[in-house]
Amino acid sequence: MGAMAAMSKLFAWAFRRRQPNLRDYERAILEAVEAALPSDTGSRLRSQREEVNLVQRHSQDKEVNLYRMRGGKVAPPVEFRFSNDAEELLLARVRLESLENAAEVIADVWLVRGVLFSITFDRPPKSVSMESHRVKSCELFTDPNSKYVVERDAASPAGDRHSSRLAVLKALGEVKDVRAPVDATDLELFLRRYPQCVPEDYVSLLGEADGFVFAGWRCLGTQIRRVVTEDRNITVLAEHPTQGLLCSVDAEALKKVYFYDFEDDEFALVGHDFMQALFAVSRGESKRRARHGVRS
Amino acid sequence: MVHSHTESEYEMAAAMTSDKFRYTGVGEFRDGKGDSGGFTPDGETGLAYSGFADTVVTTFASETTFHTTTAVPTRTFSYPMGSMTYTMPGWSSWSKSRWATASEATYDAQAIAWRRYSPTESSSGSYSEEGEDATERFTWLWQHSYTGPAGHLFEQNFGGTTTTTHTSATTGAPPTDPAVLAAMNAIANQSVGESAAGGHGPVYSTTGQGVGGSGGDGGDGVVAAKDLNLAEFFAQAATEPTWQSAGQSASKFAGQIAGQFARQIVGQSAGEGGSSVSDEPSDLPARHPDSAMPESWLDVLDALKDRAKTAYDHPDQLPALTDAALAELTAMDDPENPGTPIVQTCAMTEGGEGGGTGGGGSANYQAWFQSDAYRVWYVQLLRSQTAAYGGAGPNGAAPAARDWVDQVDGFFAGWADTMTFGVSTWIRGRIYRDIATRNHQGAMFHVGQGVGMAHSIAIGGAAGWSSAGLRGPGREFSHWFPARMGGARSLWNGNYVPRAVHALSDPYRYRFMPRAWKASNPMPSVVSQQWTRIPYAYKGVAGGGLYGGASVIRSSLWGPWQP
Repeated sequence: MGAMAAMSKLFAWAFRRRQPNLRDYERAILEAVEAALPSDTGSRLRSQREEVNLVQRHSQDKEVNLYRMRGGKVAPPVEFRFSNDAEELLLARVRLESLENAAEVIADVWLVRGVLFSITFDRPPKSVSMESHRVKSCELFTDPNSKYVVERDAASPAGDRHSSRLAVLKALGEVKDVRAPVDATDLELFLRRYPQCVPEDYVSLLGEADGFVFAGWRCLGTQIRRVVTEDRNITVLAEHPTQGLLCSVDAEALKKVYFYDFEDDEFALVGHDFMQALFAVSRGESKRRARHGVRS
Repeated sequence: MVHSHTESEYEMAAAMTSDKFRYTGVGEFRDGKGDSGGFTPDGETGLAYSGFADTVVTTFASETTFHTTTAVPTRTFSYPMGSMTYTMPGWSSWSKSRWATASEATYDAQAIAWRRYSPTESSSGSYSEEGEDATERFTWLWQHSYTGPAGHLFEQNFGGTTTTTHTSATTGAPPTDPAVLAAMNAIANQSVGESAAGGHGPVYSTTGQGVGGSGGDGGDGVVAAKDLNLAEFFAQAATEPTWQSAGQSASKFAGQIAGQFARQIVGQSAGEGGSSVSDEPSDLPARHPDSAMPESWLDVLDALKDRAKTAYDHPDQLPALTDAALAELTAMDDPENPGTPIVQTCAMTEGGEGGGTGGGGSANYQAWFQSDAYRVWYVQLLRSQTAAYGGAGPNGAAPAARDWVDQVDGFFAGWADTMTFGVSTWIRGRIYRDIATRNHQGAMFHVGQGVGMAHSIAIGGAAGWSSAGLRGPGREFSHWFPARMGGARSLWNGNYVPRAVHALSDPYRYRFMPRAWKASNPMPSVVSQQWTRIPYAYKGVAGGGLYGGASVIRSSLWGPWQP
């Protein structure tokens, strides 16, 4: 029986996409968010959760993605979709404590186009015994039913007026697709969501433009992308369609900016602030540094 | 008239029957007992038709006693030299076969022997060397006439593999089988040759009387037989079972053309153009080298012979040679009507001359010459002519050279067989038939298959390597063994693929994709990921090997596809 079970497990591992069920602590996190939301909104989120029939976990279960599949294809439960249909929206942050060792795990709950999609953890849940747990807190960042409006798509009317950094970039090369700067409210919300995730000059740059394209590199502005890997949590600040990413790593006292080569899966330090790193990669230094072994 | 064999013929017969002829049927060959039996090709594929009768007493090397029945039906045939009526007391049959006789060196398998069993006539036989010295081909020419009661058997042996028998319902019923009719026409062609050769006694008569040979020495018969090749092959095409529908037309026009030959010959030599050969058979002159045939016709025949040799040496030129020969044959002038193709004359005059052939005229002629059957027939003709050079005659390729060519041909045939999954073998057989299919076996064919398999693998690998691609917009290098595990960035260890493909096969790349993209693209199974990551170069090698291996296995298990 043991061998059969092992074979069955191996077969499932090889041929199935992943398990269909949420684990207890994952469900607890979502239930906490549902409870924190207004009743109708929470109920809609629960409906979305109940539609999930495929759960994929990556990076030692730090990233949990939820799907509803129909006929082998992804079929999001649009009937329960929230009004805020932003492509990526951090809905809530839940702190979960292990009752066995009091260790804490922080989980972010993400929506994609108004539908519950992902839970990301700041550390592998397996590293903390989560058999018994309790929710310490649940912080909501947004109302998922608020209409998502991109108000800063218009180009900055007076980029030079605001910006010493943008002016420097424009002096060095073409700067395109400049989005209007972030206002104080949005900036405060951004910093609340992502404390200490980004270099200081990047935050300052948000006050000049909420994203732009320089030398092929797209600065993401407030639309930074949070990526969890097995051994670190990363904030993607800028990306290039063929070269790689510029990112910072959480939990570093002194922020550094790294170039990530997704072909060779290698990190290379390219600067201690965002501007320095952007100059470096725009001159092609990222590859050279990577080749010369300047690693994180 | 009765022909008495000469001593030399007895001797020859004794030598030949010892071990060179395979003799089937009831009775023996020489002792005069039992049926005449049927001759089957000796180790060769071919056609053999033979007649049986209950009471016939005949031998090859002795005088023949004939029995005449009371029922003597009359049958009119359209012969090349004109219509002819002859009687059939009892029954009649004919045969045609290919065989190897006394010596492999001197008797070519392609030599064609005609044996006619016609009623009321004496037996005659001759053993004649056929063709020019250069070919060293021999044709067994002889005629036997039998009479017999009703109920005789008519047996057809096809290449020794298929035997069908027919029992005539009434005494003397004329043959109705189209193949038989076609062959009878061909027999008439032969009678022209026999007569032209000086013959060995009577060969045919509309009245039951022998037409009378002059008892020549047989040397002229060599020439006659050679000149008859065209008609023989017409008839051969007509009797091919698979060409049955076209065969009747084939035999008809064969007879007409051959008849026109005869008319020309008779007319020019005896001043009686268009008269029946049966009327003046002894006046027929020898046709080659001092033939009365028009020079242009002789040229065409010579050109045909040259083409046959060329086709043997260069089988790849066979289609072009066939086209050229077809054009020349079709363009042969009617000497009586300069500027008019002889085949057209034949078609136009057919209705008035062939009582048994019916009309149709130009339309039939056009249909025949535009049909595939005509081309097939001519290919067959050239092939047969070509094969005649396979016997290492003075004008043919030497055996060693032929072997060498066959070896090379076999090698490339095997190579192509693997590369095309047998399609090329099928096409070769379809176009060149025996010339090609004889090389679809043997060591060199298998060596070629092996090399073909190696090339298949190499081509598959090269194709995989090529499709693995280069860096380009939107393409990333996807490692099979990751860089963090020491995997190099080489096409032996990955492919340049679109970003999405990379992400869906590499969890490390997947992590960095936008969350919205992930929401639409769940990660495939581990097996799928690994399959995608395998370098295309290896997939190509495996694919090429599977293809080549399957091709070789298919060929080994089921053999070449038959046309």
